[in-house]
Amino acid sequence: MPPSMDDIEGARIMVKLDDLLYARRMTLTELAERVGLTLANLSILKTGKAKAIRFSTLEAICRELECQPGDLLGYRADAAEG
Amino acid sequence: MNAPGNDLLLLSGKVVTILLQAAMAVGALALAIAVPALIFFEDAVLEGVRAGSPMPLGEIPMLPLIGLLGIMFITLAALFVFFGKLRAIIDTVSAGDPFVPVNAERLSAMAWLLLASQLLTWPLVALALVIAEWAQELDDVDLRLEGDAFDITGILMVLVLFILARVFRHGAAMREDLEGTV
Repeated sequence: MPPSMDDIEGARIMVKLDDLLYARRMTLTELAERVGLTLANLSILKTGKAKAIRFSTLEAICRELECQPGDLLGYRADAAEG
Repeated sequence: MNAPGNDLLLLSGKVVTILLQAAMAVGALALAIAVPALIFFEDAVLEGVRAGSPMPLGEIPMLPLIGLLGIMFITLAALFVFFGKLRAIIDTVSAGDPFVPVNAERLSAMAWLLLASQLLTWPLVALALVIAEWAQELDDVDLRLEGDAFDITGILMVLVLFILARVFRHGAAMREDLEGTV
């Protein structure tokens, strides 16, 4: 049986990095260079596979994308499975 | 961090575990041959032993002897597996990634194996005493049993291994968290 949404810790948190990048016309590679993260790590964040985000990472992304943490992260209360 | 494969501690650990495993394997193999031989060819074996002995051997306590060798076989087999698991842990350390769940399982298994071999020393000593009694009745034999039946170092080692298993379980969980952190 695959684990349901409730079983996966943090599964209801959405990362809206894609939308932000699109709005800023910025590529992931470019952001990676600016915030000093590896592309691999940033991809983990973008695809929602990250388990935690450091404040330093959050700060750097907000700085470069000129946004608030709330613009980057969202909470889905009624997340459907799958 | 030390360069993998270039570390004297890890290298000596690997060499020692390989040597000990080889020693356990040789001992276990010899016993694996001796025990069935004693059980199935008792008469032939005893005849050979008596013929080769310079003195009369009296009534050899066969059952305690077979039991003793059997327990020794189990102990050696357990220690063989023990050292194999230790080497597997050392390998993960050289690979630079020791905090994995499988190492916690290995430590836990090592603790159980050591506990079993510790507990087996009691019947082993009891059987050895029976055999020693027989040996003392023979001429020219001075057989003495030395050491403590209760090995505090071994029991402490079992405790340390169980605790280390928990430490590694915790470490593996932390490691997993860290890997998902960006």
